[in-house]
Amino acid sequence: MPLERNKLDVEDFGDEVVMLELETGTYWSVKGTLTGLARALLASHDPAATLAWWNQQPETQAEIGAEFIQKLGEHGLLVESGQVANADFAEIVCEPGAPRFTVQDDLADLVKLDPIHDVGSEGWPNKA
Amino acid sequence: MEHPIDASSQLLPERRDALLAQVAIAPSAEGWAAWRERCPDVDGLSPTEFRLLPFVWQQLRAKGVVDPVYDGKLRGIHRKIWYQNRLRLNWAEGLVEEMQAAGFQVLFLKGFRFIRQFGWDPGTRPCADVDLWVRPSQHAAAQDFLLAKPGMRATGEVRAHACDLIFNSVHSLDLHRIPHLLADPANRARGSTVGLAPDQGPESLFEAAWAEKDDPASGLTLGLMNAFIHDGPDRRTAISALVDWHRTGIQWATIAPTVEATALRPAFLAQLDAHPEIVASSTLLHAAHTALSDRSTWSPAEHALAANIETFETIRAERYPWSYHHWLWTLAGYAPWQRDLKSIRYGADFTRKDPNIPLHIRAISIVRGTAYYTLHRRASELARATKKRRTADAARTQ
Repeated sequence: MPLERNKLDVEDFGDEVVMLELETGTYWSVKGTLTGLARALLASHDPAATLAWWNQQPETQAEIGAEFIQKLGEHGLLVESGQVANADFAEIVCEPGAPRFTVQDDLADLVKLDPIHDVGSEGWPNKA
Repeated sequence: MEHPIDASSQLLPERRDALLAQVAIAPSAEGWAAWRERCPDVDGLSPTEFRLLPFVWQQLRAKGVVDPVYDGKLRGIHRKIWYQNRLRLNWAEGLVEEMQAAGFQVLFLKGFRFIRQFGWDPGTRPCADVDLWVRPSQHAAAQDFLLAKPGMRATGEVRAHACDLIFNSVHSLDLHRIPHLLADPANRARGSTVGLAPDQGPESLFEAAWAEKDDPASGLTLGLMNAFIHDGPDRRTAISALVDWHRTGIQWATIAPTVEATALRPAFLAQLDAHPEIVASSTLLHAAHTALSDRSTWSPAEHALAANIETFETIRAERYPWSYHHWLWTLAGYAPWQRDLKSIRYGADFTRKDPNIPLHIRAISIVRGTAYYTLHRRASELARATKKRRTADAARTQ
């Protein structure tokens, strides 16, 4: 069940991987070691194999990895069929830091949210 | 070669947005500190500053400069612009595909054209809307085609050069008939020789642009013309347009033939002249300024335009009441008194279009506008003439 790339616009900013669901405007932000899990899925690795690999990396938390994959499934972003990559994760990098992700799905709110006045020190889209 | 900013340098601009433009072009910890000193809480940003900030943030990070207090907010501005632009671009690209399948010829203009053609990170170039230019003869049909889409509505009347559409209150679209207002045939009809090549009309202008639709230099030229024609040199658009130009890396020599054919070199020069500190930060802009300063090859139309611009700048220096379009009308060849009358009419039209403005308020507004543009201007002229005469008298006495 690889990731459905056609529905997503993805940008890897190094310390953060962001994903935009093109049909709904839902915004995903992935940080810390969870970036490695996201990168592996984006490289068409199988989710179960990816999770098994990721759980063996330093600074990971099994429940967050599982929750992330479950959420992707709930959003219809894992496809039933498709080519999966070989189980070689040598090239995949996990950024340091605690694994975390946020999913924001209120498009109107995201567009309206003032990135200077309505946000905390972490910045948009995290409200003050 | 970039020139790092020295906070003690005499080239430090007075304007805060110009200083930020310098940091965008030549990022440095010193430049950022100089701007932060003038904007300690990263608040009260001008539209130009907001437009520049995500690019500045990216440029600074590439140099390892991280603001200890506001990095999160700056990153957030970048992410929001990325989000908004990607969403909007995806929507617009789908729309263009549909339009092309229906037989329309359509081009991206301005910000989204830059993002697409130069591969810029969409988070670094805020765009207020999507600008599309459709073949002029297809404009009305294209507008109908778009308005037939569920969720799409027009937000105002069709103007000379474009109409504004909005989709589901999220995406806004400027559907252009012409890329800038000097390409309006009405302008040519009254004898203006600026903005279009002598043998060009809107249709042939589009054809030339269509033939170069994949050429980044063509996209840059159209974008710069739009910015430099619609907004005066001391206004805000030119500053971010100069940064855009620097970012493209396209030298003046590449775009010079098109600008020269449309007699717009004096307008380009005036825009660069207005911001010497920004020009000094960029070897590309500096080289453009040097080339443009050579007036020996200017056409009679360009010399006439330069004289008009000189008058404009004299009047502006007196802080004379001014409307947004005075610069455009200067380029179109209107005399100062014609620009005054047009301003009065513009103000009257503006109040007439708003049904919420009562009749007596409209009347007061027109009378006030008339006084503004006649009495004040006459007083300015009188003061100028008196000053000139006194200077001459003083010189004679000596």
